[in-house]
Amino acid sequence: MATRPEMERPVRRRAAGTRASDGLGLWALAWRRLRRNHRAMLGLYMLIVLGLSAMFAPQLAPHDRDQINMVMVERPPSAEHWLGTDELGRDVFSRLIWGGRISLTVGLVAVSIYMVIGVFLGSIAGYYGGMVDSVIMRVTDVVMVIPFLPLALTMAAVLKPSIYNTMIIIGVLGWTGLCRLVRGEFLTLRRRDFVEAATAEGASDLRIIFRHILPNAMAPIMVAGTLGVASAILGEAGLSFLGFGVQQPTPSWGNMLSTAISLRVLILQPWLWIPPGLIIFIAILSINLLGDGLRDALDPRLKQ
Amino acid sequence: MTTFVIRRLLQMIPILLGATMLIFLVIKMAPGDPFSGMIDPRMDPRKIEELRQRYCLNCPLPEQYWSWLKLTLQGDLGTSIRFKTPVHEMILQRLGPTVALGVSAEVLVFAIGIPIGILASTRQNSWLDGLTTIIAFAGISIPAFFFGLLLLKWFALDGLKLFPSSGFMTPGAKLSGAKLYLDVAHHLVLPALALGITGVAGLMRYVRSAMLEVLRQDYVRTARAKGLAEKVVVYRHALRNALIPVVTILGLDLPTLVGGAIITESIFIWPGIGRLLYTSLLERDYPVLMALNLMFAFLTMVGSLLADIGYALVDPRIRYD
Repeated sequence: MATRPEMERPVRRRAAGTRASDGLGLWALAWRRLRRNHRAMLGLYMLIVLGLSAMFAPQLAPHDRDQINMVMVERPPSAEHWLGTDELGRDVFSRLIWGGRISLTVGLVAVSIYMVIGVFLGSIAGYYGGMVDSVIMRVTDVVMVIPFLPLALTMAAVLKPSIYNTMIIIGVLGWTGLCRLVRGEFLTLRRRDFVEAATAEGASDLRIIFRHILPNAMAPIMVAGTLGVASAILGEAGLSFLGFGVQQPTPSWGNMLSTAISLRVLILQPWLWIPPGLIIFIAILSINLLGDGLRDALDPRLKQ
Repeated sequence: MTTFVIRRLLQMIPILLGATMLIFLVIKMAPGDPFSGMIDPRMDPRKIEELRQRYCLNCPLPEQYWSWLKLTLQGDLGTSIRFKTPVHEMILQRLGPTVALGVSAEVLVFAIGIPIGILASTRQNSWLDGLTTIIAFAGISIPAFFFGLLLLKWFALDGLKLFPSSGFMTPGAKLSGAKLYLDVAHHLVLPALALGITGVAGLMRYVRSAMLEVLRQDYVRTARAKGLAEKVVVYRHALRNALIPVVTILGLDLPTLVGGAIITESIFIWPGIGRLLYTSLLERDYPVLMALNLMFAFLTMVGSLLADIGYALVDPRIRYD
């Protein structure tokens, strides 16, 4: 990527974006391209279904999520309990829907936390350069150098595992990649003429950063944010699977899957762990499909 | 080259120092005094006081950090709260199985990922290419622990008991020589697959797009124009250049392997570093946790350094100075 042509970018973007393009903006054009990408749209539709079922979990769940029923323990799927019941007689299907609400929320909140941190630090590092930049980049290096899962697990063990700590931990550790990305965008964008024009008009630094430069860096940020939700959901699932994320009785896809650690469940009661595993897979797959399509739609130069 | 390596090594120092600070602060957030657990309460009070002095537990935070850092730099990683054994001994004991697991996973990644990536690129837009794209998306999206559990159920527990379900070797069996290696390899297959799946999928796509990029270049057209067989063009001319960036993947995969190892080792009850981390988490064994995180940070740095060096070695166009 050494030869990223600075001045040509918007021009080429427009040229590649269909016929003289009727004055459509970047986002409208991107949406048009996205709609033609069947894989990405499949991902989007699946995400909408998952999102709606999470949103309406209280209405959709056929049973009370935490209702313990000791006479109906570990029953296989039936007309009454579509996905059977767990070791406390709770309805697995209801917990799966509620678990989606929890897992998706944790993913979205965690990514929002790290978007704020990453975008803010990346912007000021790239805009100001010099000392500010080196300090922020060294901090980024430090956070990046410790692999995510061990450090997140250690933090969870220290802070006491909970749903809020899970969001905070993923948010506080996840921002580094985005920060580097935003900084890179700012490094190229800040030398452009429109920035000079804004400076000449006497715009304040903050205004230049957030009103002038940031909107021009939005495309890669959106792609990174979308794909980030996938890794945040995976992060939550990993932490919860090992017992250091969302805690019982609150269901999350990850902690529902952790019952399979017991060999009896693994072999004899697949209804307890295959559905949450599958649904994590589907959610991650949909986000990856959408994110990939979004990248192609927003930056057609990358398309093969 | 030498100056580049030296400069990179010097750059590692402040980052590693920062990492020690971060790890120290995280552990210090724990309620109570995480280090006091190192001390056996039945000990002579004078001895306790001496130990508290040694670990500087009564000092202000910066001094505590400094004394811990000094001990760490001298190679004293402390003593496990739970097992009362020196941490470095515990780590050394567990290192073998984890290295075996990581190396086999990486071998799988390269053995499967590269050929499939090449095939997909030479038959671009064929059904085979489409299939590999689907497999790649699935492989990137499937959580390693779910995949591991499925492997465990299908290939180790249900009907076909093709592979052992847990452990590093058959317990009690006194094997030696080739038989021992075969036994370990037999135990390795499933965990290595579970650990490698994401890498396989990633590398497949990577090799495919790198190959497509290279196959478009002029010198490939020249090679074809002078009448070389397509095989020679693809495997002798294009592949060499396409694989150059792959070298870096070896180094950069290290942190992913570490994270994956924690989950894989806990599913397959693999007696390695990941399992050690997991049990230490359950026991809140802070000295072990600190040492492990520090070790992972160090490995990540070394990995990215090796990636850069490897890149410079195989690609003469790259110059670092």
